[in-house]
Amino acid sequence: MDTKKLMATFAILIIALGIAGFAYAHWTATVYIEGEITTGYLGLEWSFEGELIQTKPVAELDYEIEDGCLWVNLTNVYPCLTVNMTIDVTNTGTIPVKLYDWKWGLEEGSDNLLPWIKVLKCEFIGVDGNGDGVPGSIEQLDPGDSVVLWLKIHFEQENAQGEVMPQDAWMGFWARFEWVNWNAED
Amino acid sequence: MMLKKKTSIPAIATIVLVALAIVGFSYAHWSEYMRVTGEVETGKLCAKIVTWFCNDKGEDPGYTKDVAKCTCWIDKKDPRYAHVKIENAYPSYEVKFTCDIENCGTIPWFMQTPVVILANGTKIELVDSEWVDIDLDGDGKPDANFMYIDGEDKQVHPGKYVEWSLRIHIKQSATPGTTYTFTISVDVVQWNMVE
Repeated sequence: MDTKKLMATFAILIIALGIAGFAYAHWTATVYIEGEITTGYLGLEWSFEGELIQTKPVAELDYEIEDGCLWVNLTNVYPCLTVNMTIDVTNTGTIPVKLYDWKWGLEEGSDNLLPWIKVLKCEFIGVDGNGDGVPGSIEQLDPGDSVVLWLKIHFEQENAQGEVMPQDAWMGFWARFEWVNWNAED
Repeated sequence: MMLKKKTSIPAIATIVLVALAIVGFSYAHWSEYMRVTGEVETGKLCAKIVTWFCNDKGEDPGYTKDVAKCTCWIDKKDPRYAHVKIENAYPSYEVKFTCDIENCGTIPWFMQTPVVILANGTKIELVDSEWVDIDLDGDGKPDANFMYIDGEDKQVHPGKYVEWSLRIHIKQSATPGTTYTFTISVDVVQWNMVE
C-alpha cells in the first residue's frame, strides 16, 4: 500500500514537472531600441538704450538689467521732455518663442503720471540675427533673432483735463512679459 | 614393477574442453544487426532590425519649422539593436519611428508587447495604439508619452518581416536642457508558444 502511494506521488511529480517544463520551455529572441532625448531650452536676453532729448542735462536716465529684469529710471523729469528708448529682446535659447502674455502696473505708493505721458511712437522692429532671412517678431522669435521695441514718449505740460503735470512726483511701474515656446497653444 | 599412479588431470582437462565446446557452441551462431541512427537538428529563432527611420526629415512633423532633430540608425555590429537620438526637443514635439523586424531564423515567431526600460531599471509595458505616460527621469512627472503600433500580422515566418512603429511625444512637464535615455525591448517568441 505504501509502495503504491509512493509510486503515485512520484508519477504526479513527474507529470507536474513535465507540464511546468512545457509551459516555460520556449525560445525567445529580443530586439532593442536604445534612445536618447535631449530637450532644448528657452533663453532671452534684454538690452536697452535710452536717449533724453533735451538741450540741458537736467533730467537723467539710467537703467539696470539684473536677473532677467530691466530697471529703467527717469529722474528729474519735467514737462516737454522727450525720451527715446529701444528695448531689445534676443532669443538666446534653442527653441523659438512667442510673446504669450504681458502685464504691467504701478508700484505701490506711486503717483500716476501716465495722463501726462504721450506715446509718440511704439513700434516693434524685427531683427534677423540668425541670418535665415526671417526677422524676429513677438509672434515668433527664433533662436538668434531679436525684436526691438522702439518707444518714444513725451511728457506733456497738461493732461487731457487741462491739469498741469505735478512737481516732485514719483511714478514707479512694472511690466512682466511672458514668453513661451512658439508652438504653445494660445 | 611399479604401477603408474593414476592422475585426474586428463579428466579435468577433458571436462573443461567439453564445457568450453558447449559454451562455444551456444555463442557460435550467425547474427545480423539492424541499426537505427538518428540526427536531430534544431531550428534557430532569430530576429533583427532591417529598416529604421523617423519621419522628422526637416521641418518638424506637424509644424513649419525645423527646430528639433531626429537621427536613427541600426547597429552595424549587432542588428538586434537600433538607436534613436532626438535633439532640441520641446513640449508637443512628436515624432514617429518605423522599423521592419525580420525573421532571420528558421522558426516562425510572434512579436510580444514592447517594454520600455528606464535608466533606473523601471520597466513599463506599452499598449498597442494607446499613449502611455513615461516618467523618464523618475521625478514623478511624465516627460513623454510613447505609443507603439503593431504590424498587421504579428506572426512572422522565416525570411519575412513585420513593420512596427513607435511614436514619441514630448510633454509639457519635460525639463528644458535635459538628456533622457531609455531602452525599448521587443521579445519574439516561437510561434507555437503563443496563444
